[in-house]
Amino acid sequence: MAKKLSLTVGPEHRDLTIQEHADGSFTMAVDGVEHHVSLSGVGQGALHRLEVDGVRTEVWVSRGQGGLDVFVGADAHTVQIYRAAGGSADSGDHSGKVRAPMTGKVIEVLVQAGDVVQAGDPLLVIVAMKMNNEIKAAGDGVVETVHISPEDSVNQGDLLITLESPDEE
Amino acid sequence: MLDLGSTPPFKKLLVANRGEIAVRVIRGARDIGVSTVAIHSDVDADLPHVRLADESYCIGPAPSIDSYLNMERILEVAKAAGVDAIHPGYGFLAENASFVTACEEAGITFIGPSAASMQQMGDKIESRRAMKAAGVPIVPGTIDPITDVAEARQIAGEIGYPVAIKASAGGGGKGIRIVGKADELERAMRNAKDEARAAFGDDAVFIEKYISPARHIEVQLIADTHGNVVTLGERECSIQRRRQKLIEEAPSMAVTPELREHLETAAANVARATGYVNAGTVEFLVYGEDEFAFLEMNTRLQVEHPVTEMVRGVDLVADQLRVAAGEPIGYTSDERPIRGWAMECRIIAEDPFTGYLPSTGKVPFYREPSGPGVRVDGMMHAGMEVNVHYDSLLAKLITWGEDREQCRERMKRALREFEVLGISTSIPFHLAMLDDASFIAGNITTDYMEESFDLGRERPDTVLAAAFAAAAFLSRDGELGSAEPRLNGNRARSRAWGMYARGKRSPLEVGWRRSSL
Repeated sequence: MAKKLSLTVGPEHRDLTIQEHADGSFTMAVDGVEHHVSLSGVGQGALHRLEVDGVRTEVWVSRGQGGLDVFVGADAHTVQIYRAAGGSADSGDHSGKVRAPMTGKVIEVLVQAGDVVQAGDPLLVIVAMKMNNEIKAAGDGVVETVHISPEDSVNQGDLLITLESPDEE
Repeated sequence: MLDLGSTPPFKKLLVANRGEIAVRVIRGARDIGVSTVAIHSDVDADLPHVRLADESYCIGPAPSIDSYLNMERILEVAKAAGVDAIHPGYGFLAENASFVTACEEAGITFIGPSAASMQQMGDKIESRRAMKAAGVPIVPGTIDPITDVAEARQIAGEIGYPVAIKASAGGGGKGIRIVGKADELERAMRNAKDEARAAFGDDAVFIEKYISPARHIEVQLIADTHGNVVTLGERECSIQRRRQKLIEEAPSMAVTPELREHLETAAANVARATGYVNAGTVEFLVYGEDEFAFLEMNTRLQVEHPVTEMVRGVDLVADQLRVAAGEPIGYTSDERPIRGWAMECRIIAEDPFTGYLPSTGKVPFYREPSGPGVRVDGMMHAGMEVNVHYDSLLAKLITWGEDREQCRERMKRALREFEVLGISTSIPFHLAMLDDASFIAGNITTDYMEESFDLGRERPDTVLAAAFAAAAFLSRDGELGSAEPRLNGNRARSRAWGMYARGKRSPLEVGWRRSSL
């Protein structure tokens, strides 16, 4: 019997139906597309082999504080699962928020509030792993707030600069 | 001549480094009966070099200035442990002449050249001067250090853009900036100086013409105290990004026997002219019709030394130790002819899909490849946290084959076997480059990777795989029966941003990208 599930994978949201077969494999459907899925491996904090429509991937599954931590390739995802309905995920209003793409130290801030920036303009410099990394604007805009100062240590994902889009409503 | 029965050149060696090179040096020492001492910062206590060494000592907190660059503390430990030699690896104190002097004063043999010859060669400005005097061709540019932006602008104008600004003390791609036009000069100079100061404690820079296109080809040599200089052929290191080498091979498809002879002769002249003793590498730019110019000499073991070891059948670390103890090299270049082909891929913690951003985090699972013709010089183990304190080299994957094609195929196989979960690595880049038509043909120059190479693939979207794995995992454990939210109803607040940042959409340009959900 198929169950309807609602999942959050980090900031993303998926609805999924799952049906378990006698051989322990599954049929899972997302957005109306069915996939044949199997998972082999024992226990949590362990390596599992995920097979989706015949394609194998090694994944690491462990129980974390905020859900199930699933490591796939370069990515570490925290997954939460709900029975159907609810679990509306953040709709991802990332626009305008320039976040630290890496952990490191801010050594130079090249803009201030009110500055007009264009796509590709350097905004600040973060030094990480002994390299100076220029963080550039992805689009045109006006600097609304600079949240950091030189010498600040920042973690990956920290808000650095808020930009106001020229075409913002 | 291999004389395995001989006495070890030293009793006890301290390895003043961390990571893969510390492991490499420990292995080389052990192979010839030298016992080893590891040092580590407090965050590195669990690294393989610490566990492999016969003794280990914590020398300070994570920042390298307080640990791996802390000469006094290192010498204190060396004396307390009763070592008779110190191997610096590469980076950190490997090219610091005052450390060499301090070792001498402490009565400990430094595995490397004399302080004077290191000073001369390690200082790029001085070495340019020496090369010019010895008649070895150099790249056009300044012979004296520059500090003033106006002066820099004038010189750059004279030799013509693009120019390279280089830290005099630099190496490993740090403290180097390529400048295409005058208005980029000031900031490039500042960044180069910043990096140089942080990495080498010396911010003197000079300007030279940026010759492009060119190949980066270097000659490995080893010189002893008996006047023998043995050259071991070239390494091709043209696959670079931001002056950091990513793939090296030996020999080079571009080097004819005639050119090899010219390069080896020039390299040997460099060593002889400066009375050099130790393993060393003379780097050249090769351009045009087999023209070449001296770039710099590295007075230490290079990151990419294994490709030479694989095709010449030598152990450069063991040779370094013997030469430092005053023994003769014991073989000639002809007695170690080139056999087959070797390549090295530097597996680094950077994300090729998002502009090669550094990647940090927990690595729950890690598995190195193995099998015929495969060597891994690594430093990782499963469960390790890759942090931001040190450089991003995780492992060097080296393959050997009877010819370049077998070597390349083995490299592809080994890269596919290499499993690093949880952080981004350069493996997808390496796989793409190994299948690139220009790379296969050997048509590569130092700007190839950044200017012409197309990764040609997208970062795999792993969200669905994670969803499937989680659903299957919980279903199997019978946890999907209830109507309650599973695993605690709160959102994964603490990790939500981490997921976003580490997920598939985290390019340098994070400004206006709309979520594509």
